[in-house]
Amino acid sequence: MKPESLHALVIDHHLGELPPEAAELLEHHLSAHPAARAEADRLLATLELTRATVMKHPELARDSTPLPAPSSQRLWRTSRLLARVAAALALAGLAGFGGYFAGRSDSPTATTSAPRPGSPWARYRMALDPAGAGWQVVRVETTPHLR
Amino acid sequence: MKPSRWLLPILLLAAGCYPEERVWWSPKGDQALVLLADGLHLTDSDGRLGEVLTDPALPKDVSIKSAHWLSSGEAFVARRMLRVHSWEEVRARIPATEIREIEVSLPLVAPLLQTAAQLGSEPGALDALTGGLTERQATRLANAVRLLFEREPERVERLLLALPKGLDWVASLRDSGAGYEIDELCQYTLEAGRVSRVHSLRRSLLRPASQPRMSPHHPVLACLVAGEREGDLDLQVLHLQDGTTRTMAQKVSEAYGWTPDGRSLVFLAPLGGEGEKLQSLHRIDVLGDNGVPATSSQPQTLATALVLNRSALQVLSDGRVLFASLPVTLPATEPDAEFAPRLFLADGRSVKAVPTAAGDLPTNLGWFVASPDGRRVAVVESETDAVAVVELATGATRILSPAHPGWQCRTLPAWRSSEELSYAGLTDDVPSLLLWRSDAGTRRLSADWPAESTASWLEYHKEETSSPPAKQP
Repeated sequence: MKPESLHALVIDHHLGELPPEAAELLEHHLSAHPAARAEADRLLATLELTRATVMKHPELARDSTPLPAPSSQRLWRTSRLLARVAAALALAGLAGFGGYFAGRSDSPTATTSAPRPGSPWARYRMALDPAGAGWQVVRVETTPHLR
Repeated sequence: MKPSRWLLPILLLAAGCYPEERVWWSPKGDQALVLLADGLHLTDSDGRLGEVLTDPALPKDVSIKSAHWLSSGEAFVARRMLRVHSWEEVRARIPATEIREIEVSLPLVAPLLQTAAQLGSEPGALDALTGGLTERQATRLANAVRLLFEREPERVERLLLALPKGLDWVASLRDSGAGYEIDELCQYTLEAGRVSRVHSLRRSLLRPASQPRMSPHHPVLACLVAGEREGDLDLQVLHLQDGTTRTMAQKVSEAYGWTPDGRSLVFLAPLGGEGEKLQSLHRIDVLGDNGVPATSSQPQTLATALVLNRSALQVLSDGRVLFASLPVTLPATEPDAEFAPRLFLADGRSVKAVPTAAGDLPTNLGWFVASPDGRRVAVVESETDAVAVVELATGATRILSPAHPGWQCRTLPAWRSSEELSYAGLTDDVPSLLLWRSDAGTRRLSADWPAESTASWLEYHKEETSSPPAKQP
C-alpha cells in the first residue's frame, strides 16, 4: 500500500469515517505489516498532539471575537428573503439565458451592439473557447478615435 | 441569437490591475500629494515637485499606500505599511489582543507542520490542512510561523523542509527584506512642505484598514477593515477625540463616502452572500445633530443596484449619491434589453439615470470621480487609457484623452477644482500627469519629473496591439 493511501485510511478511520468492512481490512493490514503499524501510530500521535493543543488553547479553533451585530445587518434581515428572491431571479435569468445560447447557437462568435462612433472604450465579443470550456469574453482591438 | 450581454460585465471581472488613487489635491487646490515610484511627494499646481515625504521617526521600511487630506489642508491621513523584523518591535506597536491571538497560536505551528508532512508528498498537503481557515486565522498562523522561526529557526526549518516546496518557505522566512507587515493609519502634519509630525491612529497586524476618509467637519475617521473571511469588509469609524472605534456595518462593498455634513456614511453592500451582484445603497448616521455619536442609528436604504463591475459611488456636494448599476427592472422580462451599465443619482426619494448615450460609458464601468461641485464626473476604465468627462445634468460626454492601442489606465483622475481635472495620459508614449481645464485645454504637470516616476500610472500590454508604441518609458 502506498504511504499516501495508508495515511488517508488511517485519518479517515481516526475520524470514524471508514465503513466497518474497510476498518476491518485496515486493521488486518496493520496487523500483518509492522512498518505500516508504526507509521500509523506515528501519524495518530501527531494528530493527538494537534488535538491536545487545540483543546488546551480553544482560542485556536474559535473563529474570532464576535462583533456586535451591526444595525445595517439587522435591517437587511427583514428584507433578506425579498432580496434573495430578487437575486435568484436575476442570476437564474442570467444563467438560463446564457445556457440557452450556449446550447442553441450555430455561430462561434458574436459581437455586442456597435457603440456609437467615437466611443473610446474597450469593446468585447463573446467567443466559444476552442478548448471547449464554454463562452469567453474576447477583447476587440480598438482603433482610437478623436472627437 | 447573440450571447447575453449580461455575461459581459461579469466575465470582465477577470483578475487584473486596476486604476488606483495616486494624486490627491489639497482642499484649496494649491498643492497635491502624488504617489510616485519612489514614494509620496508634494507638488504645486505647476508641477514643481518636492522631496519624498518621510516620517522623521521612521525613515526606512515604510511604504505609503494612499492619502486623504484633512479639510484644513495642513495635514493628511495616510495608510502605510510598516515592515519590522522582530517580534519585540511588533509587540511594541500592535494591540494587545492581536499579540495574544498570535502568541496563543504558537503551540499549533509544529504539530500542524508535522501533520502536513505526514500527509505525504502531495504539494497541497499543507493547503489541505489550512484550507478551512478563515482569512484572519490564516494570517494569524502565518505570523505565528514567522514568530516560531524567529525563536527556533533550526526546528522550523527542519519541519518546513519535510514539506513539498519547503525550500520556498524557508527562503521566504530567511529573506532579509521580509518581516512582519504592520498596517497603519497615520496623520501626517505638514509645515513648509515637509512632514513636521506623524501621529499614529490605528495599527494592526491582522486586520488591515483601507480607504481612510476623515469626516469633512468632525474628528471622525472612517475606513474599511478586513473582516474575518477573505473579501469581507467592515465599515468602521474611529472617533479621534476619545479613541473609540465603532463598526457601522459588516460585509460591505469597497464603495463608501461621507455625506457633505460629515455626520453620515453612504455605502453599498451586497444583499446576500459573497459575490452577490444585487447591492443596496444605504445611508447611516454616525453622529447626531450635536456632533456626538448617534445611538441606535438605523440605515436608510436609498436604492438597490445591480453591480456586475466594481462597486463604486460618490456622494456629491448637494447630498445626492452617484453610483453605477445595470439599468434593470426585476423580474426582467426583456432578456435582450440593453445591459450596459449606467450612472445613477439617488437622493433618498428617487433614483434617476444620468442621460448618457450608448457608448458614452465603458462596459466595465467602475472607476469614476465626481467634481467638487457635483456637476461633472471623470470616467476611466481598466482596459484602455481613455479619459472622459460626463456632465451629470445632460449626460453630454467629452473625451479628454482617446484610447491608445495597448495602453491601460492604472491611475484614477483627480479634480484640482470644479473646472480642472488631473489625469494620467500619454505624452510621447510616456505616462504623464496632465491637467485639463474646461476653458483652457490641457497642460503637462510632470514635464520635469523623471520618466520612471510615473511609469506605472499607465500600463502597456503588448498583446493588445499589433504594433508597439514608438518608445516605452
